[in-house]
Amino acid sequence: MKWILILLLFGSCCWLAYSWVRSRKLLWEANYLLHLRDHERATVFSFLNEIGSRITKRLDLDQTLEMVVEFCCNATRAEAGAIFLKDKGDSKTLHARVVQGLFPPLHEVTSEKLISKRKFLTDYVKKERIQVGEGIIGHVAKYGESILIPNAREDGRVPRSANDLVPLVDLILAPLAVRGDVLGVLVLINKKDDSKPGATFDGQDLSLVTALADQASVTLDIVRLYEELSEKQRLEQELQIAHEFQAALLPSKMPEYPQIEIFGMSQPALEVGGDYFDFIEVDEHHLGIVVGDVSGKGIPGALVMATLRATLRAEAPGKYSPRAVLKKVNSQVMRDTKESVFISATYGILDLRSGLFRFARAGHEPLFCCAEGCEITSYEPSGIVLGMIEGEVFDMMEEGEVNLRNSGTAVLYTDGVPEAMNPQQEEYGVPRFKEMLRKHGQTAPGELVRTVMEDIGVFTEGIPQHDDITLVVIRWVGESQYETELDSAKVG
Amino acid sequence: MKSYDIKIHEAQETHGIQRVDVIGCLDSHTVVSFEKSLTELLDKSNSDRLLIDLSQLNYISSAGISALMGLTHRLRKRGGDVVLLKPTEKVFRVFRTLGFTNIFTIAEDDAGIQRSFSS
Repeated sequence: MKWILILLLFGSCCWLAYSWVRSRKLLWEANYLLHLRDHERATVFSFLNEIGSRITKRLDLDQTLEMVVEFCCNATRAEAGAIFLKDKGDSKTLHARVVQGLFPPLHEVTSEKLISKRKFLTDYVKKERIQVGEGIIGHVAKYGESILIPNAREDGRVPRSANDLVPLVDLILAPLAVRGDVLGVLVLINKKDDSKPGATFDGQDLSLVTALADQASVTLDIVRLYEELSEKQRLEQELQIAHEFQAALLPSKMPEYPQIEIFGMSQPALEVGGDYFDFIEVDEHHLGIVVGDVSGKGIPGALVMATLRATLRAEAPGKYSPRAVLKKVNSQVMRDTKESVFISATYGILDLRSGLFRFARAGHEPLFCCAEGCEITSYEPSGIVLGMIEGEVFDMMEEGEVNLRNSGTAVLYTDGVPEAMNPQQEEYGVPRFKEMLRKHGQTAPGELVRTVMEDIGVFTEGIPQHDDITLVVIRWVGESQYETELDSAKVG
Repeated sequence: MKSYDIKIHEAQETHGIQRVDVIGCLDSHTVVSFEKSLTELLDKSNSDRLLIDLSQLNYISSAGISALMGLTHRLRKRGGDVVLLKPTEKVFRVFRTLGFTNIFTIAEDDAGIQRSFSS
């Protein structure tokens, strides 16, 4: 009996010691991951600042691309890098527009002359044409996926000739894509970190480069479009570019979850109004939803919108207070924009398990909720627009919350809806808008948005509007996984 | 096209306060002319205190608010201010939604004007 007790005591001590070590290890890993995420966020911010200040001075494609490659090489300690862009007028071929460092052709090359003369390498790489789908660069251009090759010598996708020219250790390739359309490919080769000899590119580098490529793509798109025009055309087509740029900033597809239906639509005005909406995955159980309106018009307005989008996308993941996120965004917008430009926005975080929608309103229109058979409820927690003021006045911003399980449908919109105007100079107005929500609030979000847009069209008699019209509708549709889990737990 | 007019009361520059009436609608179309008039006025005027009467302004868009904000920044940097007088209910609602009631100085009457400029 005594021995059994001693054994049990010893076993318990061992288990406690193991649990302690394991919990320390998990804590350390969690801290490490947080640190990495902070590092990535900080790097993306500094990238945005850099690219922002460059393009404000001059919209030049080559300079912008050079800056992107240089920044990415420094951020990941890559020895060399290049950007391959799709050719003008032929979207099936790519060529290297910018090459930095000793960069080999990444498909099989047999030219003896080339192999013997390294100094011609950059010229050769720049001259060659790569078909979309050909080799690893063509693969990334075709499928729009980032690739990490940690051991280039043993990877069949890297041609041997490339290794003969420049010994390759590792590579990262990331697509430069806007709304699913690949514009080009960013390639970085050979990590050389003096503080960590022998380190190769890893998943963190891949994640960082993918994030940087994502942010760079939107800017490249606008700079390229701008460059393709003559001075006269630039003036004439600035609005058109801004339209296209603005469209590129909006989500190309709606998020899909079993427990919610969600739909957003922005109808651009005659001039560019600056409306924006986006969906951001905060984590696997939380979805960030933003609707905003930038006060600046044309290309400057679209650039402010790009700053808003990039900052939100960098800030939102892993943060559960919409007010805290908007506070960070405000500081960034304050730094990046002119003093008279501002953004109104509502940012909310939906808990996909509980249905709780917590939101903060930066001077934006109120949130409307329509529960079955009930009146429309309006939520307007106080808050000031972004980009105007920091400190105490901004920090007075409040958070509101509503549970979509009870409230059914939440509607976010921009002032273009109530202010849509008919030929008699009358406004569509909030009462008519609410009446539409009362009548059709229980239909699917896509249908509700289209019904309201059609009603606005009928009211305005189709005359062109001076402000964008944006609607985003979220509807709780049913038993969530969380409820099922809760039920199982209760049964268990 | 919405109506717009601006009246600059040259003679009413009393107590170093320049008074301006804005009538009609201040949106992305009319704001260009509004900014031009006000810039010219401030360039030639020694006053850094501007009173903008909004009692006849029926509509203001974000472009209009940007312009008011630009003016406010400019004059506050010079040590002055812009006071917005008697905005209509509709315009005031826009200021409130955007949170500008915490930034702009708004007065409802003459006593309020004096208080606002002296504070």
